[in-house]
Amino acid sequence: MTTEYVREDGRLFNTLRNMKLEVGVLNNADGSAYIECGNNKIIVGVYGPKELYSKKHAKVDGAVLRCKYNMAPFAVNERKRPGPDRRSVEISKLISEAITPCIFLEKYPRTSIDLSIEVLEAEGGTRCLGIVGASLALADAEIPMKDLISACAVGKVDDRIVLDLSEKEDKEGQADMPIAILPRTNEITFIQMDGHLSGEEFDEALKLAFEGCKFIYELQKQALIKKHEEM
Amino acid sequence: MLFVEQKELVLPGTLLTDNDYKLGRNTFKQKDKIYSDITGLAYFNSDNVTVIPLNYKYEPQYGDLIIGKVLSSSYSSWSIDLNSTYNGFLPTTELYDKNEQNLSSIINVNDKLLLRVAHVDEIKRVKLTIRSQGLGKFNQGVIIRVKQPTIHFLSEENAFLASMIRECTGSDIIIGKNGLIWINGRSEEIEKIIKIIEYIDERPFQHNLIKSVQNIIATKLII
Amino acid sequence: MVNIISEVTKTKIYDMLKQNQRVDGRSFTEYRDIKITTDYISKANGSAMVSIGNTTVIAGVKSQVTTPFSNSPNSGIIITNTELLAIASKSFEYGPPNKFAVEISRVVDRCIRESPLIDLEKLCIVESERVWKLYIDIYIIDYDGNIMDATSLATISALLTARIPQASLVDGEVVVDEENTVKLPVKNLCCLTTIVKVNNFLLVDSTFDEEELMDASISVGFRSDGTLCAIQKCGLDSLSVSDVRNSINIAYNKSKELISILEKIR
Repeated sequence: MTTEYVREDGRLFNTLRNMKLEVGVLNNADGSAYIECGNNKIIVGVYGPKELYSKKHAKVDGAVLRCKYNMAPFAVNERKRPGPDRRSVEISKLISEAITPCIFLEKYPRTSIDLSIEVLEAEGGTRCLGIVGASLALADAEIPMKDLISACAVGKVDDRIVLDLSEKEDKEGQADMPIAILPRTNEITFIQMDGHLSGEEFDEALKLAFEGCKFIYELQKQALIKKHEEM
Repeated sequence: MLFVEQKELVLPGTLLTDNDYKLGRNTFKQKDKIYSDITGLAYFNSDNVTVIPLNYKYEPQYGDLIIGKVLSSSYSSWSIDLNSTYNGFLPTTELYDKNEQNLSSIINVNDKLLLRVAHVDEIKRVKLTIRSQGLGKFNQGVIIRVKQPTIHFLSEENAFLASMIRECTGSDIIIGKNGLIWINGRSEEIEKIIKIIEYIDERPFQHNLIKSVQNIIATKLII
Repeated sequence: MVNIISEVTKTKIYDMLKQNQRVDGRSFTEYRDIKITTDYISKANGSAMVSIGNTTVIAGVKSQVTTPFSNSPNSGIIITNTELLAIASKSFEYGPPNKFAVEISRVVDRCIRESPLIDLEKLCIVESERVWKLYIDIYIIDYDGNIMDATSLATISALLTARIPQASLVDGEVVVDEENTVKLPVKNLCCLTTIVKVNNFLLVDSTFDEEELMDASISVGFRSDGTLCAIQKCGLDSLSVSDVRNSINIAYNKSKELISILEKIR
């Protein structure tokens, strides 16, 4: 008799936490999205493309994507000093690189697209949720893209490959691997790994991550369609 | 083969067709398949496919008739707000030409002008022209801002509506491709026309909208 | 003169004010829809999301045990910090808090300190050694004017509903019981109303467009018993004595409204 492996929060190995996606939540931003997943609460805002007059920063062959990931002081257990820390700087860079392959930047020379990911409450997996939200906010701002970007994290906990690590699983687990993909063409635009994985475990994890991303892709599409049906 | 229907809501990356169509706005081709690059409605013509965005982000193209606002002036040109991501510029040489006498009016900041897009270069600098029949500065009337789908409805699908409104009311109406519409006439007429345009702007994709609009014109405009 | 109708222009606002009207149909002393959601962030000890019309802010309270300041050895500490997020408006840029953010933090901080909203002496655990420090961080996420009032409502709502662990002295050591939380010791409820002067008209709860045209503004804080506890004038122009007196009267009337909203949250 085999029993299903049940994680500490009651989920199976391939269960995603409940996700709520909302598009167009801010009045001022050109595009915006809000994500709740477990206790994660993330809001993403996009301004642009807007003409960039600073010759130093503007690029003649395409738009400049400026991406900032930031955590609120009250988002974590120990209050975090406001302002960018090294972790936020690294994540900002990675998210920018995850999104760039997807946008037709060349359509908007001499402009900037400013994207801000604000984590209001964190509970594991904020960088992936930030990418999911950024994709929706960019679509909301009508910035031309090849596809939506989907992201989720897989990891190893208790020697098992699991999907969508909670904060506890992230801290106490044996491996954590967030990825972001363009679901239509299966291109990977973001991948990081922390911990120990054998070659086989990596293959299993990658396959599970793709399944998770494809599921989230459907949720993203529904969120966009829902917003326009309301209009 | 067409993978979506006419006027179906599509998302970035939605597959539209694998026919050898011309690429309209907001589409791209990858390996002989044509996809949408924004959230919008797919429109198929006989040989091309376009996706109309749901908000009013206008993209200047050669030949477009546009209504612009003068933002600032420099030695060589006026900077014009096109209600778009990019501003346009109107070279001062356009006005100081001895042959064209009706262009001697002075252009100031905040003036509203009727212009055509003369050229858009690879880095999206938009050159405008005022030298053509009917172009010039607006001295009276009102301008309203509407969404792109409304412009598409009024200028491409149902261009006869503008003439109909002109005949029924004796007012003048000009539809700028960049999401601005100019109306001039008696204030009651202007108000009625604005109501009709707002009606369209609230539901530009409604099934058989043209019939409802024609009804409204018949009942409200023809006394 | 051709006007782009759908744009809210300076002349349009001025004209309407002369006819006793505002662009969105409100009276001069009316607030937009106020929505307050408390306990919004579970990781914070207290939190509130407040929206006034299209302006939305989120305040979070985090507590920490720390050593008191040497000049107030038996008093808890409150630190207020406001950030105008880049997503809130085209005109906000990333960087260290600019002068507007700093000013808002300090005005709201003084209002709640003078009232005093919280009895800081009850936040003392061991005199001269250990007290509670409360960090109040406010995020402005959507900007359509009047962030001063939105920030103060969010701060006060978050503090009213915050729960901190119980701290006690056991064998000379401070022991913090995270399981048993208590509400903060509230002393005097207070609130802040900002009045903006546009072309000689005094307006409550200005929108972004109205603020762009303001000559000056004055923020007035009241305690629930009707005592003034804060005043701050902002802006590049001057106010007459009657402007100030009238503003204080208007703010006093508004304070009744706001205090009753806050009482319901408690």
